Amino acid sequence: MRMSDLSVTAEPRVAGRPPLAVHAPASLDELASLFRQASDATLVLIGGGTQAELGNAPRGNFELVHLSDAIPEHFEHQHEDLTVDVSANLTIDAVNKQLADAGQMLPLDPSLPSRATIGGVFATGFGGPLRSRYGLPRDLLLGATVMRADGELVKAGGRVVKNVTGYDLMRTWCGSLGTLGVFTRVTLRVQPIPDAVELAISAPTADDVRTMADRLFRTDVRPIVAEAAPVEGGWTLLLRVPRMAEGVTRELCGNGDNVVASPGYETLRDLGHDAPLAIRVWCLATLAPKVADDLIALGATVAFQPLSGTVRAAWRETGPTDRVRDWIESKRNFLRGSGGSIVVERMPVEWRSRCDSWGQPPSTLRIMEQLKHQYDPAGRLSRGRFVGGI
Amino acid sequence: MPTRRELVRALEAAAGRDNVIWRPADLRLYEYDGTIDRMTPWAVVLPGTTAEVAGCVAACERLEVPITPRGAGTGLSGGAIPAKRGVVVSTARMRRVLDVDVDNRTALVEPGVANIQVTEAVAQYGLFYAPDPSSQKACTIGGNVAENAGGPHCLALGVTQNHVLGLEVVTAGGEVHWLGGAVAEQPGYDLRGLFIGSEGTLGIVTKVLLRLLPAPASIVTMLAIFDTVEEACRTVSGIIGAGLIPAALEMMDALTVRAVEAGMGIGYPPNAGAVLLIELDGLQPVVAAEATQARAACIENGATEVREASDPDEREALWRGRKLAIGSLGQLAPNYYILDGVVPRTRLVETMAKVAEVARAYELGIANVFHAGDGNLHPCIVFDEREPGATAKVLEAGEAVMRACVEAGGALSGEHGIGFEKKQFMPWIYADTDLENMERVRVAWGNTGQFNPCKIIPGGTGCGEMAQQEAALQAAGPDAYV
Repeated sequence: MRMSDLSVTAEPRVAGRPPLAVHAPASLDELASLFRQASDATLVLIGGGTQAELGNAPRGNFELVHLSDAIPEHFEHQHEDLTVDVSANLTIDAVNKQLADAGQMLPLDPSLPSRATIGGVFATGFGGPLRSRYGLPRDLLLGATVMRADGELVKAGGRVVKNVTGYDLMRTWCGSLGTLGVFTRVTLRVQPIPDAVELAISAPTADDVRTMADRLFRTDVRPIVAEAAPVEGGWTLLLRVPRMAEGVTRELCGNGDNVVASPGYETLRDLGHDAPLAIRVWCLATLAPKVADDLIALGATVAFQPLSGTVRAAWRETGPTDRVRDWIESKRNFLRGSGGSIVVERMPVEWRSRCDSWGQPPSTLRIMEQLKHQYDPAGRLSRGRFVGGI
Repeated sequence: MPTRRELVRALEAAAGRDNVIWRPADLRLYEYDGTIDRMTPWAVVLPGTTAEVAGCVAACERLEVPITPRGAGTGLSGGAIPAKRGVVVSTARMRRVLDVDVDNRTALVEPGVANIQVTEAVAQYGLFYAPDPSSQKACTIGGNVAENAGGPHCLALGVTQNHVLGLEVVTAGGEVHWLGGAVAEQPGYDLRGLFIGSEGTLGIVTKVLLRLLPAPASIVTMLAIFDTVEEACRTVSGIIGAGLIPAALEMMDALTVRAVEAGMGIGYPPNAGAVLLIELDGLQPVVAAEATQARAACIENGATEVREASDPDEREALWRGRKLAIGSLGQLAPNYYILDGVVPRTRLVETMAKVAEVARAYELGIANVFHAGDGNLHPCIVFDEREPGATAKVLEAGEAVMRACVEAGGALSGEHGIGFEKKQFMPWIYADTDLENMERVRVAWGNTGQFNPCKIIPGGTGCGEMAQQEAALQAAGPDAYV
């Protein structure tokens, strides 16, 4: 099985800063030794390297650690139970290829699945287009083992789909960007590969996109993918629905088959992966259409997920302007009141001193800091990269 | 150590004179939950607002008195029992549905709201709240959060974790915080997710923001009858294996069916070895196709009969047997003890066989009713507490069943929580380093050992004194749940 195929550049950088050293431990023991080394440098952990730009710059000196070879490869599929145990260094594609033999799949789709690793997708916790149907990565994690900053391996959860046996640390670790520990192995729910069809439906406005998607949801058509992109004269909504729901879907969407085709699932999924500026807006589904319209007016390429209220946007080289940055700041303030936020996944180096990757931290930062203090008091793991400077 | 008077005065200052219970006779109501454990608190306080809850927590901290949150007291793992006495904080006065947002499909409720009250409040908008534990007429949303409650309809839709968007809590350290929010994705640690299922050891919930779903367009409910539990279990595997995820997949064994028939005369065949209740919902053509597949799976695996409800009344009749199953156990014996275990679905058959072996070995009747689709089993041991040594035997048998679940690759609890009842078994699943790792969660939330002590993690001083009063064993009755 192929592991993550990372091309290490001559000068790997994180948030525009070069590492003091680069490590590629060849075993869990070596990884643990590295964690335990007395050093004031913090460690930035890399799986497939597809999200190395996420987060703020590490605070102080940092060293890069490639995880691919440190973790013993593991793949164990309980296909009748719809669960799988996998080592964190396997890529999404590699896992899916094996699951497909039994007609099953991972219900998550981060960008660049040939490089993105299982550990990475749970460290970031972001959903892709499949999130519309299957929920967030944290909803798929049944059990996990992580290596803590002190090199100790600890686990939580189990293999069963209903479990109240101790604290749900899996959900805490998910989306923590490695600041509480590094995933080494996880147990996940998988899904049968649905018998589905793809349709591209046209809609005049972002509001219409949302209305259509909501109507489908309320009528029990549970789209597997519902991802919209702006096109000439309006919008195109890419839908993937169960084959048996195709007729109802077309009826409910006004039979508006698209003249201009959708950019396609893969393009939408991978939006912004190499852009100089890429953001992810999380807001109420009712507010998302306006956000999408704003972003188009700011010159972004946009992918709008109407069922979750997620809007992703990316700009090319000349895109990142002060105007865009001001919009991000004021929109963050506006959305905060209704629970929304904006993550700046990738930004020009010049922005780093003036734009926080995560935005203003929530008031629960105190509790987050306490957790960090419990699990990594010395800040050995990704110090400074996370929310609130954790 | 404060005097009782000092304690009562401090609680009255926090929550009002009328809202503190301290007379011994009144305290008896708060010494138990749905299990056989008992412990009388020194006082019970019923705050009505978040500020009052925070005041109670602060008062207990200042006086260094243990504090235990309590919802409706229907819990099945001892979570609401004040193991070290101290103060019980009840959410009974906080039972309002504060807001329903139809466009965003959310509801904001206080923690003392009964689970079924939520769906009742939103049904008029064509919405419902998915997690539906069988105790839903009494159990509270706050309690559901504490135990990450499930219910029959969690198979397709998920458990409480998947339906709670946000929580306002007073932490064990006395701070008020909002965890999560109306938007599921948020930067930062998923503290909301950590709090859910923490069994009241990290704080007290004061408001809950719930996710609502549109009521399904079409529902098909079927009851399949089998000669053996094994055939019914294989049918479950067949249905899931065909790629179907039914809305509910519930099983009852022969002993349960006999009890239900004796108690309610529903019309189950009295000699049935097992019955399987299958519910499918969604788009009409999809549901119809799935119903055909499910029916075929039943017949293929030996079903002697498959009944289908043709209207809501018939559907309710099919469910009645399942919902009142535990209440019917009184037909078999005066007392019962409900177990909660979970195994991978593929290990169900062998686990059910082991449960039957335990029943034989201990000469106890065990009636099984459970969420077959999830592998979440509820063996119910029926017995007579008046028999000498009966209780001890029951507890031993319970432990043997839990061992069987763990050996089959399962966990210690599917939905009732670890609480006091099962913490001694935690080392079967977790190493010392894992348990110590979990202990750190409490510290991070400000729990220095006085907040709902003696729960989940084994160890801790002074935890062995829960009284098991002879006369206090749970008697089976019509209002019992699982």
